[in-house]
Amino acid sequence: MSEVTTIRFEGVSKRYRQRHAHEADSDLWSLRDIDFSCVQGEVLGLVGRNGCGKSTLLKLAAGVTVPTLGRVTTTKPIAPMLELGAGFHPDLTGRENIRLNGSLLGMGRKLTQAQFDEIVSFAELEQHVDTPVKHYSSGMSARLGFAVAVHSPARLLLVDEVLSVGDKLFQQKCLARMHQLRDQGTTIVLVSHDDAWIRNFCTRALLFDAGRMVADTTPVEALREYDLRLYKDQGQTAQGVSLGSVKVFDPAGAAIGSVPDAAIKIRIEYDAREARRDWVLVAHIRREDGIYTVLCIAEGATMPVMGTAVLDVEQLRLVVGRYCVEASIEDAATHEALVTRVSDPFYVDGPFDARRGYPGIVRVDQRWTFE
Amino acid sequence: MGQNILALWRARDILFTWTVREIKVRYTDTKLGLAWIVIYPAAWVILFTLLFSHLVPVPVQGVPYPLFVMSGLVPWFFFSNTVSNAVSSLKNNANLIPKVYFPREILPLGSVLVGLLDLTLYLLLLLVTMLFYRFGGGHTLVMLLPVVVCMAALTLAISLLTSRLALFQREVQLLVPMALQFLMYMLPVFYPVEIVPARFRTIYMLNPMASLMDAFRRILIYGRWPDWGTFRYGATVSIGLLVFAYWDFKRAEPEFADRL
Repeated sequence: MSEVTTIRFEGVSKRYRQRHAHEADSDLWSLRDIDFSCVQGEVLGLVGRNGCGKSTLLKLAAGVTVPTLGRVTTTKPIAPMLELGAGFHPDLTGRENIRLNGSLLGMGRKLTQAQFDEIVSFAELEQHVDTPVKHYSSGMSARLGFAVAVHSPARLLLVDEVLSVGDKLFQQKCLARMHQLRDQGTTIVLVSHDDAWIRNFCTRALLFDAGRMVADTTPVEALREYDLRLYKDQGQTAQGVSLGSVKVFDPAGAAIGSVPDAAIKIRIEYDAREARRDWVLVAHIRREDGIYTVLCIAEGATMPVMGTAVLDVEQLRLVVGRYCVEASIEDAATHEALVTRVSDPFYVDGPFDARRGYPGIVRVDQRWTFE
Repeated sequence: MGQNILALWRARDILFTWTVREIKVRYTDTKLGLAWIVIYPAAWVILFTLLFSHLVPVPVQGVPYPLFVMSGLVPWFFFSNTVSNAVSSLKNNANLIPKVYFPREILPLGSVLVGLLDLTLYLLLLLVTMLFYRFGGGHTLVMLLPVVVCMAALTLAISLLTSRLALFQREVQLLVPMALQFLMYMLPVFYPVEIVPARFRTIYMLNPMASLMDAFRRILIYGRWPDWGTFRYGATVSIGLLVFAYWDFKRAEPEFADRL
């Protein structure tokens, strides 16, 4: 596939003027100096806390608002799913609303007619297509909005937190349809607070912090960086306990990025001098898709109130893949994490490559015989 | 401007579906449905006929008063109903404008198209009334289309201006209904232009809608040509105002989503 650029942001900043009743107006820079571009078939995840500028970026890409500085170039047609079923009128039937919604998404009369049955069956609304939308449940109208959007001829699909519609089966259908669109060369930009969507579906992710783009990297890296920033903000002073660095070494004590022989040493710096409750040190080993694979609790050990905890894991029987250590100090009674810190990722090497699609978490000692 | 019109042309499908939607929304779930097209003007015609034909007679040069007042009400309904719909056409779609881009003028323009549909139906009613009284019509009817086009241009201009101002200034939504009520008395709706004293006539006719409505009544009811001087003035102002309003609208458009 030729590399066709579908979105380009060049030095984009967006300022909102906030109006106050009793004082002078103030400026809020929702985005600052954003530069990136995206080619056909890419699935771009936007990650960051609420109010970090993700939605503003989608609005700029959708063309509903214009940058204060810089330039945004996009390939049309665009299907902005910033809200499902934008323009639905409650008094009109599903059929009538499909027509209008379709035209807003750039589907002409012919295309809407040609796709009509497919849209309705995708939304599973065959029985209700001539019912006014006001009698739909919220799930039904969201499904209809989603169905229209993913059947539009868009080269660029902008999705803002709308993937949680419908039941599990419907969500699987959405995912399948989005994969299909991606394979057809549609560029998809996705805002989601669901790590799984970013990790499993996106090919690239941008991390935002207070209006600035702080990472343009793989989804896994972006999520890790995001975690680091989140916990750093939250961690240091919480409940009077804090975690310093969390580092992974090989058994000889050298810093590592890769673990060939499946034994690691984890060093956790912590400080719980001011803890007001009973606490316990916990280390999870987490795979890059978010699954917690191994749990180590410093139970029974007499822990100094501050220092460095060293955890030796002798046989880390994990399947091949990228992992990180997530350390936390938990309330001993409630197991609520008081403070959490994530290590740099490390790689577990071995005979079975998880990336090739082998499911599973652990390797066990095994012996095969054939009779 | 050329580019904007081209973009609007490309989005004509949205304009069409939006207008159809507006029409459908108005008549779904109403018991009387399309009968409102007759009931609404009929009620006003009866009221004005009682007032100005029987209570305080207005000189109308031998025209049956119901027909006379109808020839004033039809263009007035078009103008005032359209503008009062259009003024909130952006504001009422706060859930749509920040979510998807389309040329925003489609919203006020849709109000004008709905108004034009009503106007067509009202014109048919007016023609039926003319046949009933066996009064009016004739070769001057060829001017009907140009007059209606100018009225539509003026109405669209005011719709564009007020709808966008309503986004930037709350008062506009309150001001417009009041201005429309005032305006009805300032226009030849239920009285002829001729009762305005000659020394105020020029000022009166500065309002482009007054000259267009006068032309409308002349060609339909009296079978006379418009007063060319005032009509040319009304037409020029209407078209000029439309060009200005569209320019102003497109200039402000990028900010719409941020204002909602």
